[in-house]
Amino acid sequence: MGATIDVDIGGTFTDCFVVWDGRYGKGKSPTTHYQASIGFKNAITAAAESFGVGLADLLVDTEVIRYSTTIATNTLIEKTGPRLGLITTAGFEDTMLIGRGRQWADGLPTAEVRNQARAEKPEPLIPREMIVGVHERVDFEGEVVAPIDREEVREKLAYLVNKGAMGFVVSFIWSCMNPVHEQVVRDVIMEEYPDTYLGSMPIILSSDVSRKRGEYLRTMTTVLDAYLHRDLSEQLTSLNEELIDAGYEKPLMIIHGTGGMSRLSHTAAVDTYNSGPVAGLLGGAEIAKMYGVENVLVTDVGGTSFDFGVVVDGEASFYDLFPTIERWRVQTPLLEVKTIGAGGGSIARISPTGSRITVGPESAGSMPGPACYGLGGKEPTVTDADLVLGYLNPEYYLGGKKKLDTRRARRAIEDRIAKPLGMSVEEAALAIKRVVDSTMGGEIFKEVVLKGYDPREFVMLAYGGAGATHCCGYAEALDVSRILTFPYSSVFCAFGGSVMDILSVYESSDSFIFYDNLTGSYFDEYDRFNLIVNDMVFLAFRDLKSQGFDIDLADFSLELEMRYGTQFFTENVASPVGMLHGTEDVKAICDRFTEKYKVLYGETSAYPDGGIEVLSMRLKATYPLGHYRFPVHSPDGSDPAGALKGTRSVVWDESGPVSTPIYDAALLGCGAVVGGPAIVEADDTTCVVPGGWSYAVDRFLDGVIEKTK
Amino acid sequence: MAGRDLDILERVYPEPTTEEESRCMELLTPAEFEIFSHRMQMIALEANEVLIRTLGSPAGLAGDVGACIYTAQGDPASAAVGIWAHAFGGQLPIKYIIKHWMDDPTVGVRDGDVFFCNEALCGCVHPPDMGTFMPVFYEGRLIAWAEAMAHTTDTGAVDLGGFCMSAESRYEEGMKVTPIKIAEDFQLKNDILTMMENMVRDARVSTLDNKSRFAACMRIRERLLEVAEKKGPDYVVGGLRKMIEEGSSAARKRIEELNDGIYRQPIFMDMEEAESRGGGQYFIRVMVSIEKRGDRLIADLTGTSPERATSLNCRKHIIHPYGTGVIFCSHLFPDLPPSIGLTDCVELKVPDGNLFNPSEDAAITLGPASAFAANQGCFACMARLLFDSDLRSQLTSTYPYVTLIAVWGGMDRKGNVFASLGLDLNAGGFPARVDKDGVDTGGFHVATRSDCEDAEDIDVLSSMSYLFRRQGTDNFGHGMNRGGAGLEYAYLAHKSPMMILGNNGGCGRFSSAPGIFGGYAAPPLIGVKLSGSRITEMLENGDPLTPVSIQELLERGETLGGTMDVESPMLEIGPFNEGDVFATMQGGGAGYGDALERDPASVVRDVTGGLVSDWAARNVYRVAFDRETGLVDEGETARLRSEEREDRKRRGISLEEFEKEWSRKSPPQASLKFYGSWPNCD
Repeated sequence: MGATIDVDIGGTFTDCFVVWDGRYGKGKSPTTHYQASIGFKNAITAAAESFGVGLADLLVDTEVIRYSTTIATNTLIEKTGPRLGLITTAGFEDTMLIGRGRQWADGLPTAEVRNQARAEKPEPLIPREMIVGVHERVDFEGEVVAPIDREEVREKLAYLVNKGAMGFVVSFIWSCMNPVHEQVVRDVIMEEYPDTYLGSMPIILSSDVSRKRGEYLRTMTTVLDAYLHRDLSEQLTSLNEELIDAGYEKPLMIIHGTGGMSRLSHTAAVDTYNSGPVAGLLGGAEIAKMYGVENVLVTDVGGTSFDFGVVVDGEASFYDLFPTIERWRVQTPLLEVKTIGAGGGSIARISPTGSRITVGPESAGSMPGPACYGLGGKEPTVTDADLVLGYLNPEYYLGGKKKLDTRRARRAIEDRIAKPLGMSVEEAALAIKRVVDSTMGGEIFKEVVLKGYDPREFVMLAYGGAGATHCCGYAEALDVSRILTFPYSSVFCAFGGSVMDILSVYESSDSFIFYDNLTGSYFDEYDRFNLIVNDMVFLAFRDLKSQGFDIDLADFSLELEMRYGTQFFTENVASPVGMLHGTEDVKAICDRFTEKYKVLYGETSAYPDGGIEVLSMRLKATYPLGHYRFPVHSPDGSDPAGALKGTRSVVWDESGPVSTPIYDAALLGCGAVVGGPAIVEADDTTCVVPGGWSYAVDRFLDGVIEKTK
Repeated sequence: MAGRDLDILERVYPEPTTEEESRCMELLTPAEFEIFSHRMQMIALEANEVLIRTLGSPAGLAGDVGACIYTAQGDPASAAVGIWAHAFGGQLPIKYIIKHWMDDPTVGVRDGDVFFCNEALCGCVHPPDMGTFMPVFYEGRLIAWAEAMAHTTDTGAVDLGGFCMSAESRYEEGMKVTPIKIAEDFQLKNDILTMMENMVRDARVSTLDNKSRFAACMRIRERLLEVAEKKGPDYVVGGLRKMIEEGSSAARKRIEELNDGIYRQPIFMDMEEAESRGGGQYFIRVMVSIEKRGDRLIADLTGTSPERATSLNCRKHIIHPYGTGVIFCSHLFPDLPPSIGLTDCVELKVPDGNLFNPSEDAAITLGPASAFAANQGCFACMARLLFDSDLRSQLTSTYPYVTLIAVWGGMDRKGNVFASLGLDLNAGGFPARVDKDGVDTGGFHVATRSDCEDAEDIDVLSSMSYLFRRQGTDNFGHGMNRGGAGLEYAYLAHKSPMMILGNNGGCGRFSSAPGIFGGYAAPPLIGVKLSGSRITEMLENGDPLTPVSIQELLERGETLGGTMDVESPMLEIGPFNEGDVFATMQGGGAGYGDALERDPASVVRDVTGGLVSDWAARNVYRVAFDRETGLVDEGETARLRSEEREDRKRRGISLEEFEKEWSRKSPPQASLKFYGSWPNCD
């Protein structure tokens, strides 16, 4: 088999993971926001070099290129989307602007939400003057209550076109139950405006994007899709052209934030949001399988943020309860990867009360960056603390590509933290480290226990530039005793892309009372339920076939959103059956829901007597692809002493400054074990191994950090 | 028997720090303290999320909840909200339990107990706000309390939906439970759950909410014990007290830096009497005076109207949690940890018999509305206090005091009996700021994390639909910076098996929010009831004249058929039959500064966006512009504004003349029946 290439276009770097000829290579290059294809090509070229070939030689033997991209984030931050027109039900033109009222708080960290005096709703993606209402009405049962008038639609379209609309979003009340009026608008647009005018202008119907109740969320999902469409399309076109010029003409697959992947023609732009971190999460699921462990915490510590996700029973299957894309709530079922403002660049400060040290969420970013970068940063950061504590080597940061200034780091910590609190610089640096580790640990803890699991039963994966540096710290906060780090840690999200399967998600918001509290009876309209499942399966077959996949190899699973009585929120339940054949099937689903509910909220919390309802269904269609298997090595018997670079004074939480051995990760062979305290330096990260922990190179050449006492 | 213990209602301040707490506080270094605080915040957030995910009432959707960790003495130390008052509202019931039940052999406080309370005379806010409180013991030592509170939508009161506009005494306000064990040995007691189900209309909501609050308390307990196990119980005891002391000392320090002075603001609430009691409009005055002296704030409500025979009475202890939450946690000190320590600097003066200090038998379910009015007065006073300070950016004009809460019930489309309330109140306008406009449909000011619903949700929460739902035009205060617009909406009875609807609220005659520094007040609000209309027929015919705003409803009046009543937003509870329409709006925020100083381009933008009418652009802002192109005529605008400034001078009269004329005026006597003596409520 030829090569597979996976690329993750991130905010700062474009990472590449290539599997070819039974081994892997990695490449990294700065992201070129002005033209992503340049960074994209550079990263692949860098990876090709690790095989000793040029770009063209690699591409000519490549089977597939998959990629994840942050373009959705960039488009939203830079507001570079097109001028869109929104056509909605008359009387509901302000839906996008009202949001859920508290729209000003969506997507903000808790600390900012507290400051109500400075609240500000985000600038709408479609200005009010570009939103028009059309008289029409469909009700909650999908019945047409008020017909739509094509002439009125034409008038409103003419207004939007005159105002410069470069694309149309159509979102009517209850279109999720009956899309007929949205389809009428699309027909009118197609009739009125010839292809030459429309060109690549999107016409997106909310009913095509989501069939779930809630017009604000549905409208926003649709608006985002249309808004992101152009930039994504341009990026892809540019990538395609570059690749064709370089000799590659096979498929370009796009990774989705839903955990799926498909060709461009089957990708909604909004699906690409957060696809990089989601690929990392799925990479974590693959690692879990490789090691035969069920539950894994996936953690990524970068410069400004800390991303984490949860894998349970070998699967990444938790979807965000309140998905928010930047400042907008949506209905897209995004796989849950949480982000908090904590990383190497996070700034440490004394609280306004003077009684505590806070770290983040503000970050010094990469410019000016931490004080030790010497680029003008004056505020102390986590990286400065790591340097002062001796964890980082000022001469070997990023393999020596960046020199760090310890003097500046010390001064920043001394001036801003140590002196005001009457501490030594080392004490202050240690406090900064402990606070950020604890913050990261606390956030993971909350999310894991809310899912009904005990963090102590998880293995942790740590990647990103500072993951290996801080993982033992936040693992302590969780009582996690085993951590895995990777030689490909710096391109882990790209690696994640390489293990993904084709996955498509289909949703329906039809609801069913599975247990009726009024009559004490179970649901018996099996055909109605099965028909909807069948419809979703049909759509999945159609999509897989049109992409050239053999549908016999596809795998299907059904998830149900269920609730008791009058609850508003639902729990996601993996259905033990695909189709209903009798009461036993319905009871089995109800029992599965109640079991899960009890695990989540306690034995006495369940309330089946109040009635059980299914509010929506989700069908996941998976088409498995071949994945790279890491070769298994045997211990080479090499002495870790051969990897010893020397010693330096390192300040440890439990023992203060200790002369500590420093190892070169590249020279530690399979089976090598290093006891803490120790520092293991790689060219892309630094692994900090405190006393009471050990670092071992295992059969996959991954670094396993374990608690020894 | 403990009986009623009104002394407990005075204990709204942190209890004195014990020697044990002082000793334990020393265990926490600055880093340890930050780690501890963050951990407590995570625990409270986790419990809050458990509540939201599991409640049966719409409070789950709205986030009308609070979870909080309390000290062993019953002081709120770390909260997650929802509504701040829900998080801080447990302190008096907990102190009641400690005082009366701890050593009572027939009750006792033991590991595994969970208490329930919704009685305002024992420190709760009002009957629909139901709380559970759980002692947290570590190896037999009481180290903390867990609290979870949520608004449950029915109390079995004379009116459905929890708010009782027709109640004249507490005996019409439904279930009111003094602190009682709802769980023992970590098990909810079915006899108590059944008793509560028996007292309300919607049994399922009652039980789901009780299970939800119980689960949230259990979660806090479990987590606190994990911390105690790992770090020791002293760490928990010391950390919780330190959070309160830190808040207290930091708040005092900041208050001290502000200018000393006395700041006053009267607020006039106008409400509509139920037809069953003769109808008509009436006024109430809420007089707020804030004296800032050193590191103290003395809030004096003397001069407020007396207690009255409706449910607008408000117990004074609830001023504190509302004040703490919205003013201190969300405006003055959003960077300080949210604990009851922040209000340690506030002294509250309320004479007996005042609306805020009523007799024991007074009805109080709409008391929060009065608290919001007091709150609004505080905002107006604080704006003047903060103007000359480093906190000027935190200054706002006033929020609308009135929150229109629809209550409804009947039979849902699946055949279940229901009694609930609407969430439109969570889309009111926010006030203008010193440097920017208020937020349009920004929310409900005391509920920082509460949501309104999607329009489609109302078909699930009730058995009616929205006819329209939009941001209101001119329903806020104009000004150099304008207030945020409130939500404007209409309900339509559609495929309703049986629908009962009412709407709590007022402001039909008087401003809902006074402006600041020359900004306009937000205007009065309106309620339009259309019975037996042709609306359904118009929809079916695709009639383009089907109204999609209140203005269109009013303009098309008779052509819509049926009977139209245009009144205040108050709608007496009654049948809402197929085709009936009720339209109203949430108040907007008040304005800041002179409207003539507003950037003309912003006025045009608001006209285009439907927020400001042509009339207001012309007559309030004095802006000339081309409706087609949106271009401002700068010269003509300058001339119009100059002309208006000259006119103002001509219209002006001396203070003496004004007082002379003003003192002769009085509202109609009939509207003063609850006011107290005119004009000073003596």
